[in-house]
Amino acid sequence: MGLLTDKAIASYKRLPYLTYDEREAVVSGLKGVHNVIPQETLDYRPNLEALKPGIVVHGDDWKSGVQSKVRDQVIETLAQWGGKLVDVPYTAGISSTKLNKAVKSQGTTADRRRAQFKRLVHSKEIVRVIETHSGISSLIAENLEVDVTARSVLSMRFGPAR
Amino acid sequence: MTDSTNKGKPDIEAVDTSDRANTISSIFEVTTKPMIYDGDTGGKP
Repeated sequence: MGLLTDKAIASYKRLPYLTYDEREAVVSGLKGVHNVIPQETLDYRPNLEALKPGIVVHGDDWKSGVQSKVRDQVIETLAQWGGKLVDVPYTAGISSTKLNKAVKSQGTTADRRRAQFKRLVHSKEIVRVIETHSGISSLIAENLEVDVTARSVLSMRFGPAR
Repeated sequence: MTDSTNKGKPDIEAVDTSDRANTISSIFEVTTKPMIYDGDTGGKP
């Protein structure tokens, strides 16, 4: 099983809640998984070319959105040796946004804040920082979302943190 | 500096360490994010 590294994930969306090692422990425990191979980039081609698999299985959520281009590349690459892509239906109701909301509602500790910062510095090309000086400005920092696909102004969702 | 400004005070060490610690507490109550703390208390007048 190919597993995206923190760096690969952080290149196109937020850092995953679980670290690479934690995620590896989860997937290697699955029945039928014999080997977990780190994928250092969102681009699947380096791993595909190294393994030349006959069949690649991936959730069909990547048919739309940022990953659709990556999917096209996978199909093209597999065609070189007659490999096939199988898109299995993505599990409904699974959303990292929802998960993050639930995790946030539990609060955090100083150790976890420090560990998160360390992971961000190691995984993100650029770590975005915003100045705060009070409860209200911090609440804005906590809930601010920037839609980079929007043409002009930032879109901001604002709600209570807990 | 913004902590002083938010309290309507000049950036000349008018806001003491316990005041600043209180600000950090109120920030940590509403956010799960990490913090980079600027320890500069402003210059003496």
